[in-house]
Amino acid sequence: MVSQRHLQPCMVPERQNSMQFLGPHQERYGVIDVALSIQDSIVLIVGPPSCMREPYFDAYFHDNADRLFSYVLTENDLIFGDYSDTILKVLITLGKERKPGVIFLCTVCSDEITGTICDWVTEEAESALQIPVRRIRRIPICKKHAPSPEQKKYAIYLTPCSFSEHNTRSDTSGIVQILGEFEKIPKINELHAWLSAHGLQVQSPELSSSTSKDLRRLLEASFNLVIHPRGLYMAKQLETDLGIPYYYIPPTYGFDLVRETYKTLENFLGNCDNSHAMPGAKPPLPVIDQLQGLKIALGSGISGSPFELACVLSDLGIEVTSIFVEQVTEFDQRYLSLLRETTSPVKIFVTTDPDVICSKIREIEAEYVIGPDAVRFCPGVRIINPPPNEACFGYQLLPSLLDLLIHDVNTRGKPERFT
Amino acid sequence: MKGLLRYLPPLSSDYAGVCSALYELGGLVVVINPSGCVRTYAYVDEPRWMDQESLIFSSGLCEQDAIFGSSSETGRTITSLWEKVRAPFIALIGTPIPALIGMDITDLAQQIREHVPVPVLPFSTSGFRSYSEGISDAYCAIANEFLSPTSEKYQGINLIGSTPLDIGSSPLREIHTVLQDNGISILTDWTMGGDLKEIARSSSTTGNLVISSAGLKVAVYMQELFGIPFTVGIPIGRYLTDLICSSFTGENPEEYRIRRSRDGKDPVHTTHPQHRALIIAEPVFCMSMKTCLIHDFEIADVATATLNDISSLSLPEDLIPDHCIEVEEELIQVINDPRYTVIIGDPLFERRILSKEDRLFIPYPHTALSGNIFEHTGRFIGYKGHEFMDERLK
Repeated sequence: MVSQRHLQPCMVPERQNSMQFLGPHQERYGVIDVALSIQDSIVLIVGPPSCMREPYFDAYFHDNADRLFSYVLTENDLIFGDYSDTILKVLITLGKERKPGVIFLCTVCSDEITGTICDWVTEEAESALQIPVRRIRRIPICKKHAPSPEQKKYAIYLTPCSFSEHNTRSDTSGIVQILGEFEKIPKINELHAWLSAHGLQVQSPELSSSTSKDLRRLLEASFNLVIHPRGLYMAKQLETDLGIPYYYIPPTYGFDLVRETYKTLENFLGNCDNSHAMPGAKPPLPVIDQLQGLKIALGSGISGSPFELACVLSDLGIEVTSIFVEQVTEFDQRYLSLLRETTSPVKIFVTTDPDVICSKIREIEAEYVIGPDAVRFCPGVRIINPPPNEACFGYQLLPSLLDLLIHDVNTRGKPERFT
Repeated sequence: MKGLLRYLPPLSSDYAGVCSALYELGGLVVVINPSGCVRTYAYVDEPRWMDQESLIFSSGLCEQDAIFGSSSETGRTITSLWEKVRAPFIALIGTPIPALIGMDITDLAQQIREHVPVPVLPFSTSGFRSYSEGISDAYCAIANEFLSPTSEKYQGINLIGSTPLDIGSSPLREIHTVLQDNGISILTDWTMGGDLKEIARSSSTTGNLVISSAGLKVAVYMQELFGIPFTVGIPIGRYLTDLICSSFTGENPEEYRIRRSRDGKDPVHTTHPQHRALIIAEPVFCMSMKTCLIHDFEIADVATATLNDISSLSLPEDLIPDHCIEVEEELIQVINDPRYTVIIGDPLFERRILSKEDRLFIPYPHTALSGNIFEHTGRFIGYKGHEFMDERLK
């Protein structure tokens, strides 16, 4: 928790995409952006005028400004706390005018303190409009970690499904749903293909461009596979509310771990028939001669653990000089001891530590950065984006990441500091 | 539904105004907020954020702080932070949450003052007031703290009211050029491009040019304390440029114009009396553009409107626009009034509100409204501004 004892410096980032890391809980793609990514939604945000500007411009840049409405509170509103009725009227008016599939009422820190807007506002609006009207919160003052803001945001996509009238599930046997990504996982994805080979029908929702009607399909699965932690909260909700079980299989880079993952997944499926061989069982790695000696900084935000990736890259002769993470988890500890055995030391920075934030780390030795947290602290260093969804899991993950590195070295030449 | 905004964002708020005014002065600026407020300022309201460093910190308020209060702890942290950066002053800036929980920013400043040898400026901003008030407060605090009577005389002026929220860097550059071309030297800008040491010498100048309404209070303050006269206006077009420049050179405006004409710098006189214009912007820009349209182009029917809350800025009557708009619906009515053939204002109006496309729209981006979306242009400024407007009005 970053408390007041730890003043957060608003560093002057050196590139636009670093802006998202100004605070641990304020990512650029916030709750409002997620809510507006449902194509037939509207959002009403209620709060002081200063809280309305950033959501407006985020919505504007995502071409959604026509579905975002702001209700600006005055000081008197907050003092007397008598605006709930007005908000209800606004919700009903907007609902009747715009006829959305779902309405989100977004409250901010001020309402978190005063508690003026209560659930009855959304309940009455829902009853009057006969569409889901749900509350979302944009509250940087709340620094709670569980579930993470990213998980809560992802679970917003469940909102249209939770309206009682639409909870009638059809037969879902044999349907496995992949959660954790915003975009559809294509059929050529290794996991997709492997699940299909096991006779399962794979459902991969395309959340970022769905309508409220499309999202009701999230309920139509016999179980969920979560491949990114952001999907966990949604999966847990689906398990609690509808009894849909889930299994968490974070991507791993090392082939041994990938094999282990598939084995445990087979056990989960209750299918120990080895006739479905491991997909591709250890595909050949690309020739990585030109990557030998390359210095890389890793950060959280990539698929899987940056510590595990660091171990794998070190084994391949690629030097990982620094790792930037928000926190070192228990899961990561096992890799820390492995990293200690590598020939060169690896610096680990906890990005929420004020001392790390305060000091502008200029002496990082890295020619490439992988992972958003590392991008923030290594200005001017070449960035490798994570592999596309086609190769976001399994044996494909490591080769595709190496391919991206090789492609960059081949097309742009060796980085300046590369010797 | 007075508070409902369907098409536009609210204007920047008071704390963004203070931050903007102090951005380049080298002080340790601590915004007391849960982080989101500074993010809005950095991301939307501050075009310099990417290119220019500033010691702006966020206190990172959390729920427990809001419930139990933690002023003493914050004070200690700020003091120890100052020990590291040794800034020439400390500014403490309030936001909605401190205002809501009744945090006493002035008292916090007093606590810090006991431990640091530099001025500590408290700003009880709340996020509910307009950015102009924030800028104005910051200017007055700076003047109060750093200006003193001096025997030094600087033959030149201060530009007051230059923050990116009102004036983009490109128009500001053009204003500098216009003034310098007319032999008027500028000591410093309040405060975009300004320097605290130079600003502290502001009381030695012979005049002030106020280019936004936020600068008016401090100009009045400097007039009362140091006898420095001020002129209000942005040099847009020929007439106003002459008027402003002659006010500092001491010449009669008409003689000044004739002399300039002899220099061959007077553009060809063309008029566009057929137009009826509406200007929606910050009050000083409104007044300046209106003067240009009336005197340079003989447009008799010019109305002005502003979204800025000017109630606390003590503006003289001729600076108060015809429409002080508080409700979005009122703006929609005014802007869609068919009698106007020309509308000058932020491009966001054209994209989000203007219903008729057969009218001439001349964009003038206003960062306090549309953030960093649109690029500012300095083409309105000076004699070149006359040519630019002439071209657009044809």
